[in-house]
Amino acid sequence: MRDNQFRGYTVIDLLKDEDFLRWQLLKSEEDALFWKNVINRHPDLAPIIEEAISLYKTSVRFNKFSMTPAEISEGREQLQYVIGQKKKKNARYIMLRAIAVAACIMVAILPFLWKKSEDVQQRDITTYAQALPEVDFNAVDTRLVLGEDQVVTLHNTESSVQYGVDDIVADDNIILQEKVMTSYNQLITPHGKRSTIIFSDGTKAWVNAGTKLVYPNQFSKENREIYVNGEIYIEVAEDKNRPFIVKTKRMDISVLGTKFNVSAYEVDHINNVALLSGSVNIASATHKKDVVLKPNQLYSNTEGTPSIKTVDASMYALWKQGLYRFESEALGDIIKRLERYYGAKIVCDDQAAHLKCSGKLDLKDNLDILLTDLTRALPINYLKNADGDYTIYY
Amino acid sequence: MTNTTARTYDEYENTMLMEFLKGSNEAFSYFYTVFINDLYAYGISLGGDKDVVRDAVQDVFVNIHAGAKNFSSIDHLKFFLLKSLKNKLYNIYASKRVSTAAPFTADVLNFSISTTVLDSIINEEDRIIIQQKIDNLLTKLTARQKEAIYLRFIQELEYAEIADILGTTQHGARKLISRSLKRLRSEEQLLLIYLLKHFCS
Repeated sequence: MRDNQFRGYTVIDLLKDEDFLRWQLLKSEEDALFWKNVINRHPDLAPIIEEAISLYKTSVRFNKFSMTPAEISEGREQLQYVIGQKKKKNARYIMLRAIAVAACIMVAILPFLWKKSEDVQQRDITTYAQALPEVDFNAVDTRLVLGEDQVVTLHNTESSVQYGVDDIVADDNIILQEKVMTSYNQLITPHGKRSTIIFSDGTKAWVNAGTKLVYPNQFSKENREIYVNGEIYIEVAEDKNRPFIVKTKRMDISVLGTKFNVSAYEVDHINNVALLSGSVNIASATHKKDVVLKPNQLYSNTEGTPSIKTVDASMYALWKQGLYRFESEALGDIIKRLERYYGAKIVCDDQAAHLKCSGKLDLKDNLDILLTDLTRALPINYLKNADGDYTIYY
Repeated sequence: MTNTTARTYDEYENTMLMEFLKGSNEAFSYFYTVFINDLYAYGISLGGDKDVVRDAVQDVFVNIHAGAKNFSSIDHLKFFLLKSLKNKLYNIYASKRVSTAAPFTADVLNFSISTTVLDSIINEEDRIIIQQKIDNLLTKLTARQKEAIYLRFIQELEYAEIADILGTTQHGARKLISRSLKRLRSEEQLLLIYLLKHFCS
């Protein structure tokens, strides 16, 4: 047997032996077994092997690169300095924030001081969202705004954003989140674009064109609140202990776990909620009494006047599949949706705008094809101007 | 493969970790001193330039100070530091490579191991031979195998952590090391081990 060769080996001989070195390097069970066997046959080698192991441990080093003590202490000092600077900056920042928040609270409270209001109680997210500067929905790209100043630009026509445990995946970007401080994030989807967002609780929302979504980077323990100016279709992940509240300018929709579509463009006269499954509770700014919606009911809020009717609710969420169905809707309203969806400007004369139409449009077609189809079904014509804008006339 | 027993830290070190998690600057400084050379050595081993590695290590510590600190143990902290450093270096060198005309297929970071035999009771001639013997063994390994071995036996990381750093599964990480073993063995030895296993147990 090969192990006879070890007879008479010294410690140094072992340290030069490939088998011994491999054993020390990889510490495998097989090698350990092999050497146990060697010792069994040659018990006199046991102390020598033992000594070789300990000498290997004290003498052999791998990638022994190190900084000098002077370099280390220099690095440590530099680090302390950088951290000190950051702290000062943070302190200034917190101070500014405190002033800003105080100002916001004053602005929010003032109207309440003047009149005894029956409005929905304004919670922080609404206050925060409404205090934000107006956004330009005609911008080219979808924007994900993190906290106060970090903006991630998303170039896809249909962007996706997903909140993980400690990161955010937005199209091809992976953003690590520092969960030290809760802050509000915004997803701004301009005209002509769509996006989807999956929140950390698993709730998924499809976001239509021209929509601003405001939400905290992490939901609180009590509830899950988001603010919408625009249109979303949302499938809320069930969490009996934490209601999900979709807040808008004119109504708050609270649920435990359902699927529904909210169209709440602040510029539109009509805002509505179409419930596909489950149940939702709607509190409006103008009516004291809350409304509880059943599946396939549509709640509409026309300039503050609510109404409920039974509909095929899935029709209202078709846009996320690129379809648009409408029933006796004014052409003016339909055109407004198309403007947003395609990010185009379409001027419609009064007579045409009042035409009531029912039908279905495939939003995957380009706008010219779609308008041509409309001219075939309706007594209208359209012009494409040199600047790319459209005019529709009776 | 034997499991190297996880190192235990003494009470002082664990108290420092608690302080560190609470945001103590003193504890932060302490762990900087404890891990700086592990990080520096790892960065150089990955093929990083001295100055680049030094700056990257500083950045890693600045980030860790600013970020959420939820480390379950000192080992976890060390793993996180090593991983962050590698990511940082990867980004630095991946972006640099765009400007230089390096071959597209080359890995951005290539791990290498160099051996040092310390000047103890072994005389110089022997030291050189031992070092050469070890280097001969190591040259048979791929860069990834070397990195896996280094992380496992020198930095004493867990397989799950190694897998994370190398972008593979735990199973994949174990395989990297068991393959290394095979590479370092001759056919004859493999047969011998086979016989030993079957007739001695």
